[in-house]
Amino acid sequence: MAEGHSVGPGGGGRGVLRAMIVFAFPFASGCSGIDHGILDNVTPMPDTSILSSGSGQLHTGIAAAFKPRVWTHDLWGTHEQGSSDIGVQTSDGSILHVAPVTNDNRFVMWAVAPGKATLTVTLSGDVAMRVPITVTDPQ
Amino acid sequence: MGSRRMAVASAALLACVASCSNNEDTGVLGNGAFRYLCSSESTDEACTGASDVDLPAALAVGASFQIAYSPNSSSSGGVVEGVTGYEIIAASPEFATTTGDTIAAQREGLVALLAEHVGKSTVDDFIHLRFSTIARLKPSDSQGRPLPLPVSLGPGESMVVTVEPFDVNAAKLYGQIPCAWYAPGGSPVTVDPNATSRSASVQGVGGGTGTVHVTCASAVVDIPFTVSGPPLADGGTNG
Repeated sequence: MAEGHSVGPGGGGRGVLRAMIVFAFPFASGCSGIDHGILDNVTPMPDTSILSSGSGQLHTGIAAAFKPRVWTHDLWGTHEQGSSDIGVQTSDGSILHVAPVTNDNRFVMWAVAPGKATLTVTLSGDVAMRVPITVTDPQ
Repeated sequence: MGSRRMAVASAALLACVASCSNNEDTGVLGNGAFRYLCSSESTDEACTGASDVDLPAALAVGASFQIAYSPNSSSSGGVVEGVTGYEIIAASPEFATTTGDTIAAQREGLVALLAEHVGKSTVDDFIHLRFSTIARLKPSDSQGRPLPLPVSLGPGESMVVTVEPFDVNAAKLYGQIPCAWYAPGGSPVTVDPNATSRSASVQGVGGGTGTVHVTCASAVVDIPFTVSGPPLADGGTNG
């Protein structure tokens, strides 16, 4: 009876291996990685221009600062990543410009000319979020 | 981007400290202060008015001005004067252009000026300024008092006339504003032909009434004059 449930010599090693594969598969298949990002602490703008984590509508000439924050997930939950690995880029510098704040983990973006551009937040080079920005001239 | 940059020369900043007003405002990020610079010969009212006030609330479209940036001290937190290594960038060339260290207001609206840390390509801080179109020019005397119109002068008498710019909401506008002064032929007054700013010397030369035509940026005003008495023998050409 007991023998019927035994795995015999070497059977335990194969079981452990199967278990490791079962646990490792989710990692290999994408269960860990970037979870989400946000634009936090957006500075007030002096007109009706707005900027959120989902989109932005700025008037030409307006600037705003923000702190990009990125979280990753794995089997143990989500974790906010350090700001040193976070970058922010613009798809079109002739419409929207972005630069880091000196000795800070914030960034400043400013609307150069009317048009559409995308603000991309990256973590160690991987895209964490994309924010479509529309720049229009004030009325 | 180079055309939109303004090198902030420490020499200009230091030379200005004694003679210019102390108009400054803390940046949005709180990392430093933006200071409105004035040369000793400036006719910008922001430079001739009271000191220790904020940056001008609004600048005239067509006006030029200079701004410098001073970062906060990392130790004391206070503003450190005379620090070099920053360039002022206008967010959009549609609204502001730079020539050397001078910024020119190009069109109506709000525009951010950013203090870029040279060599790091990082931004220390920024502010927003408002540019407004001149809607009205009001004549005043050299003390800023409104002139009763028509302005009365005697033959040979001269006075300095100033025009003050206001926006459509009657708010005063600032900046170094280029103006052109013109007295038509046959006018009882002459105007200093070298006048290019908001102020000009006007002299009565003959009896009668007439106007002095003043153009500042896109705004125009005709100032009526009355000169009582016999005309000057030389027509006032000798000042």
